[in-house]
Amino acid sequence: MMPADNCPIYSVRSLSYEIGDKRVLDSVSMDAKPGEFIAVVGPNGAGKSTLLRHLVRVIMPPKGAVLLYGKCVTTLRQREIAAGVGYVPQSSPVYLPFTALQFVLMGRYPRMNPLVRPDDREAARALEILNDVGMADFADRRVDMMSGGERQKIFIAAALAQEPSVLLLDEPTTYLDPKHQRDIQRILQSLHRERGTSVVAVTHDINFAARFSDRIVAMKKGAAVYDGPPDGLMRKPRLEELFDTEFDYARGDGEDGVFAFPRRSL
Amino acid sequence: MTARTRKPATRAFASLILLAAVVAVAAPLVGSSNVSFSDIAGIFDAEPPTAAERIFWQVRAPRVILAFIAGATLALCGLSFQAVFRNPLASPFTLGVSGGAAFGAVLAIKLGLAFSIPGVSVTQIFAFGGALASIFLVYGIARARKGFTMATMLLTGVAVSFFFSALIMFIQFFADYAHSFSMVRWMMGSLSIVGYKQVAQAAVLSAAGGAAIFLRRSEMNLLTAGDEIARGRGVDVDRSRAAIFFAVSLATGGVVAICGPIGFVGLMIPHIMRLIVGPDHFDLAPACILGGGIFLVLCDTFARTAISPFEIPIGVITAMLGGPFFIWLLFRHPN
Repeated sequence: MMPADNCPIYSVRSLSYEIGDKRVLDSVSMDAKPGEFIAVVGPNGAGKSTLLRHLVRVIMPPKGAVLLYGKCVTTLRQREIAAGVGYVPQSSPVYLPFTALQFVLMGRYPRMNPLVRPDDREAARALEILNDVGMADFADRRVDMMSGGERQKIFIAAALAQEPSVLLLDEPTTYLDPKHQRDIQRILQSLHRERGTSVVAVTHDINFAARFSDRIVAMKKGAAVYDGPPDGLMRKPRLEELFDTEFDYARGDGEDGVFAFPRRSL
Repeated sequence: MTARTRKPATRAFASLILLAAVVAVAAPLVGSSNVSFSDIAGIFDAEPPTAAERIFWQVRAPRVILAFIAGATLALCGLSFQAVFRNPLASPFTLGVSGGAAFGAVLAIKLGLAFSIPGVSVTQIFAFGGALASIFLVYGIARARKGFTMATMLLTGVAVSFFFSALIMFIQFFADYAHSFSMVRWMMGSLSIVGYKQVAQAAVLSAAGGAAIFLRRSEMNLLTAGDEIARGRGVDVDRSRAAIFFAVSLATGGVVAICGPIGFVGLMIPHIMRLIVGPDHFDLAPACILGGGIFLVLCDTFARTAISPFEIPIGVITAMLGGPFFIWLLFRHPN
């Protein structure tokens, strides 16, 4: 799937989704343009992950439309979507018996004939990708024996093996130690800046969102309540209204902009 | 998967192929009366076949081939269900295939139906129908429920199995002794009365179902990683799952109709092969075909010879091995 000039990668139009009588998404509309880094933030249960899962058609949109390069995702084959979109889900399975190399090679699925075993050229390519995320030494280690941070890098590598033009990540740095958080942020930044890969990342780390994204979409109770540059959100009282809590603000050095921290209760 | 990881698998495959060849040649020689190579060498001359030649070519050879086909099919079907359900205890029998087949067979025996289409007995037709009906019933019920998951389907399979068991007991209760004995004997599984016709019947269905499963090795790898990852990589999960379900019901139904419900092969062999060749279904699928075939031929040879001239039902042997295997699996996968 090739991106057309100026055509948004994604156009989400009035997307709603309900589970039982709970409205998880409430008429959400947003666009993602080529080369953009979009962070999706908001409190727990705001519908962020559900939105992302609609984008990759893990959930079929029952109401509204999700257009990928102008085509409704419901009309596309799953393989066509995967050839353009890499998806890193929030949680990884407890049992994943494959080695890192095997798992990354499985990411080649939308790009190769699924009837044949990946050849040595594909393996060399997978090793290159592992090297790009700093995990070449882990190629022969079992994924389910790795730490959370190592595993997350392997999952990103497997999504990159799809050669996507847009990468969707669901809380890529949650539960990771500061080193691995930084590693993941660096990988995403380099993908975005050096290769022009579009990124849509759901995150709870508002400072990461403000620092790295071109645009933030803030969600609350299933609705997109803010869609604009990070500066517009990182201020009183928007952040307070979004998360229903107090924040302290600090200005970073140079281009780092404003940082926000939940205010201590004591 | 690649040259880098393929080496141990290559060695394992060489051993499995060698073992399969040895077992395939040696098993028909062994029995209540042993046959030697020199006894059977004359089959190609113009003389009428001797007793030893008849035993080898007309009795034991088709039986060994059927045992291999049945073992290979059940192991491959078990493997595909373990991938689809992401559950080490999933097998076609967990989903009520054996229960359905047994109900079909028991019904045919009870009704004393005698019609047949050429080469296929009515019991076989009913058993095949029962196997197909049970798996489609389980699939239909589970899919009809909102928020359908693989766990739902497994539990539906267990429920349907129990239901079929109850129906079987109900029919048995009203059956006379002769019918009741036939029913129990059928449910123990057997490879005894067999000719090349039955081999051909099992082979056609196994080959059709097995090929459909074999073509989905990439998808089975990704399904092992979970639906969300599989979808993200481009697998049409619903279509793949439906195709595997249909293929498994066809292949298992074909085998169970002829051999009866031979349990535990589909459960044990994939796990053993996973230890030998690793988790990649490109290796696992052919390994299960070889391993399942070898295993069931060995079990059948034991069944024929252990208390010769009597035979132990093969389902009894696989179940005796399967019980301790379950416990081993429990310790190996504490979660």
